[in-house]
Amino acid sequence: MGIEAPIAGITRHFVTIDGERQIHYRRAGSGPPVLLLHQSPKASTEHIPLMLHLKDRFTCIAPDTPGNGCSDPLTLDDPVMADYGDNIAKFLDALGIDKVGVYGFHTGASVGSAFAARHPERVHIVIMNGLVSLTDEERADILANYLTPFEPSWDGSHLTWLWARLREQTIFYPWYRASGASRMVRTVPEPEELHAGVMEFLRSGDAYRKPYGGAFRHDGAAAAASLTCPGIVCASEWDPTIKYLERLHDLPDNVTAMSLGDRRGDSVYAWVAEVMVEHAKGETPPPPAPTAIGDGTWQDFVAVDGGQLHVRRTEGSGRPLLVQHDAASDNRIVHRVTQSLAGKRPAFAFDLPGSGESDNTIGEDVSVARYADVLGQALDTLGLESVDFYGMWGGGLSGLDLAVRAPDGINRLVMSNVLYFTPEEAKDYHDNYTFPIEIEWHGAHLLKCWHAMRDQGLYWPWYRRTRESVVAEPFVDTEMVHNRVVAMLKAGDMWRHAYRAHFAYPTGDMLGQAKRPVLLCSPTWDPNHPHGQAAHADHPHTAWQELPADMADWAGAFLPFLDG
Amino acid sequence: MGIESAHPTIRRHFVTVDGTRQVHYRRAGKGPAVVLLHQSPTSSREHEPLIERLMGEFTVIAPDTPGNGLSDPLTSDQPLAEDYAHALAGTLDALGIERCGLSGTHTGGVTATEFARLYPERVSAVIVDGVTCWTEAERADALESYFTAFTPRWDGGHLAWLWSRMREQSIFFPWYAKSAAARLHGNLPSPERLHGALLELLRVGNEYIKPYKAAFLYKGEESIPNVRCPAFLLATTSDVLHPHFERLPPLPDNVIVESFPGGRKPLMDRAVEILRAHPGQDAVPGPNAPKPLKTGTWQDYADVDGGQLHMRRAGGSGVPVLVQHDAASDNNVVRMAAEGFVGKRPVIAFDLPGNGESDNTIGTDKNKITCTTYAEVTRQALSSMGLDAVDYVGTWGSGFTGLELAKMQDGLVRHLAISHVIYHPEALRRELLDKYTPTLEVDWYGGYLIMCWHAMRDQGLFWPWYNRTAEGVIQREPYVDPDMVHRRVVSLLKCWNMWQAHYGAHWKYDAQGELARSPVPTALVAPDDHPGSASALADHPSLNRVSITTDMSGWAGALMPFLES
Repeated sequence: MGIEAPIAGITRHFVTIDGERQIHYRRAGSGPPVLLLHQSPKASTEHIPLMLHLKDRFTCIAPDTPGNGCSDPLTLDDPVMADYGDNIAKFLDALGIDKVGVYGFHTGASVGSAFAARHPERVHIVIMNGLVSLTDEERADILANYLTPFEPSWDGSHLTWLWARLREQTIFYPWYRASGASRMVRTVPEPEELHAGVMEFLRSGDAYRKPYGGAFRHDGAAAAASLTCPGIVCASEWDPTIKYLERLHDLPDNVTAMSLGDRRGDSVYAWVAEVMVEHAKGETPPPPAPTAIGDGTWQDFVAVDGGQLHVRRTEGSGRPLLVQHDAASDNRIVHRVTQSLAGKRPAFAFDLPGSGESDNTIGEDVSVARYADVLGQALDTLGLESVDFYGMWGGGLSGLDLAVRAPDGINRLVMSNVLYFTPEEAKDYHDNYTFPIEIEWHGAHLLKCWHAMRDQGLYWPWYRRTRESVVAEPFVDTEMVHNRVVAMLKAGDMWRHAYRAHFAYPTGDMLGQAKRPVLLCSPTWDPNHPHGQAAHADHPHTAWQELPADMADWAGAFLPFLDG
Repeated sequence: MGIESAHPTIRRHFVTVDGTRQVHYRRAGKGPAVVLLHQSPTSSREHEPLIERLMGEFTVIAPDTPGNGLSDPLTSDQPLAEDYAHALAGTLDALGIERCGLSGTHTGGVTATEFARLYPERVSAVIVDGVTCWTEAERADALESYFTAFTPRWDGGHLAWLWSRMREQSIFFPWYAKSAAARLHGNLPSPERLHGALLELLRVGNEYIKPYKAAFLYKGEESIPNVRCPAFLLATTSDVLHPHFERLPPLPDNVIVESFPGGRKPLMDRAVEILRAHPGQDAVPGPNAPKPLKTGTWQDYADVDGGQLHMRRAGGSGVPVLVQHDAASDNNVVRMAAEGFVGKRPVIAFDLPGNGESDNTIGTDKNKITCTTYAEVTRQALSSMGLDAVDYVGTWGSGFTGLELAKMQDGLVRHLAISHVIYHPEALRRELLDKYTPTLEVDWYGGYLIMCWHAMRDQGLFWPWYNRTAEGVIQREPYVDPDMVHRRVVSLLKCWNMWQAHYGAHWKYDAQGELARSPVPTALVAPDDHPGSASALADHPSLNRVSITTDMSGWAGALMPFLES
């Protein structure tokens, strides 16, 4: 499965809105600002090819719609397109941009039409490609059937549904009506493409329903008719939304309706570029730094060699503290620790390269030392010279590596649930703990990941499902398993390389060489608990502490050691 | 996974009770009668090891509980343990068993206890392997959460649930309580064993609930003191029901309680010892052919070399009509077509060897199995039934089996009807041979179930199903009803290791050449827009043609004029 490198020329950013939520966006190029709005249930990734086409002449700004991608959802129960339009205005305010050219596709066209209708003074031109205008009857049918709630199920069957759901929308329109009249004559996408759709959907989770529902409720034709700024409503002939062009009515002179013929891909992008060259004006200020939201944390990106690391941060006083996740994981999995540090310490929870939302800047050549190096680059970018380091499971190993190789940068180190094995155990885990994630045409690779992650809470090691391997205190909370599966799938094959790097690491030797104070700790429920105790017994210069059961209480328990 | 070769000595039979329902049972050995009752949600298959131990000195009868295995369910909304006990009495009457040694495991133990209480004179000794004395809280909790009904979902998610459900019962007891207190400390069964258990549930669908629920409704503490025959309550100390021993009231002297700390083997040894000390009636008559049901078709087995073929059949006068299912299928799938002939002709619908409920007597070698292989086994079955002439209705590829059977023995096939004849150009047949039947392997996470689901569902969306392109789109009303797809998946899972060989035999068959050589009156049967039949008729204008719709219940009416010609 794909291990993606960052895309040259495109950077990712967060901006904070109203101090309560964040918008994630992609940015590329320089020149007049052009805003690119994506369809449902996708994210700004959809516009990467268009950005690459436009970035030499424009500053492309492609936000994830709230509830999609990495943008927080709107907090309203039933947001309508007007709310998404106003959200764009706030987004531009936060970026310091007055006026833009807008291109939106499908739901993005609806958002663009709402934004332009409500804030015409901020729009040079709005291109609405595939603007939907449903009849009342169509709308009632779609709202009753289209937006199935997405809720993790203990057996993983929500993933079976998701695969079938994304396949089905390429077989029937609407996807829920398996009839001859709804049948589309087209090729089902390759499994890799379906899987990419699954990933976008998983990023949104159940929040996918809000913007999608808003778009279905939207009266695109009325919005287009009300525009007072320049606008173009268009669709390609192959696009099912072409039929909605006929439903446009009472268009003012400043709005044009047109077919794009059989244009697709590059020929659409070239046309968009022509329109924007004519209309888009002005300069674009540099991206602002995001600030905290309600719980005292926020998300950001930090530049490292060859890409960006995603980070979740807190404000606080004293020495900065890194909170480091494990293999097949990300900073969302350790967020309960990070969150509990808000107001206490400035904390930085990075996604390791190739995990979570971080670019993979290291390829498949993964080692603990390389992870440590990249974290070092991030600390340099942030100008942090000395930090405390907390790592969970294998996440502590990067801190240990830094503490041995660059002891000036690490003040104190806490390793919870430390991986500390005999050579035989380490070899067993290295050989058997992970499997390649191979995308199947029927989607059952998702179930494989589900059971692998769930079995981690039932057996240690998870793949040995015997009496001797039973984890006494099962840890199979459905929400937790789901989050771990999403993190695992985001890492793709990096989960394998990351685990193997951790199992190959000479933890014992390195503990012996650590020149900084080290605390080993774990809760009793962790099957690694005895390993942590053994590590402490073998290395009496380390401190030992039992952690409370709940992860939210861990930071409170180990902070006295760090404050030492 | 599913299909095995025939058990060398344990035979399977049906018996008809009260003319209204059939009981499926395993039988082996000679000597005093022993009856073994299985737990939920399984079937008499689970008792095969014990049958093997006992068959040297007893006549062993192991029925499938009504609603489990291949036994018809009891029809009331929620039968209780005493209903299952009375039903067992009916079964034993039909088998000619007046008195037996009786042993039951878990749910089977409940029925055994209740039978012993109601019919003490018919029980030489009862062995209850795991007694049930639920607390009211446990019972209420289980009744609320234990018996999840499963309905086929369009996305196959019910199979993901089912896999997890079968796993979970080895991880937690009860399976839905995901707590440290409920954690079981045993090995998770191998994927192959999980698959076997899952197939038992797929075979019966939600009928699994009734007998299981009856066991949870049972109050062992009230019934057991009233058992008047020798009774032995046994349990291993690791049994989830072992703690129920502590809940038993004071018991009469004829009821003995014994714990087994050393696992299943010592318990089994003790059970054999008890059965020896308390023999039932000396011999058991039969086995006899099952009597007809009052309506429709009934189930039976036909002997063939090396095993038994399952069939649905019905009586009547005239030349029997044999309705044959296709590859990756079984007689359930053509049941509507077969039952259309009831009242017109005697009817037979076999499961071909390795499919459905038939033993696999032909191996799985896809390089050796041909349509002639299937024809030969069919010939053996007809011969053992004493039939020397049939009218043969072959659906899809099984039409070729009928053609080979007609060539094999003069007069055996009187008329041959081939529905939806497989008639493709050579290049397509080679492609189908290569791609139509990917290898199916049980995996540890149940993903193969999802693959089967989509493969069977895509058969209603694309031709061939693996060609999911614009060109492969089937341009008519899609045929993806979840219940239908589910039935096909169950059929496929029963013959998983045969589907390559079976489909392969059809793809390799030279239909163009062989249709010209049919020695008997032959009709091609299909809807008017079936392209293969049209091509075949163009090449073979002398063949008869019968027009049908997709509704199988109308096929008999359409076919009778040809079969009577």
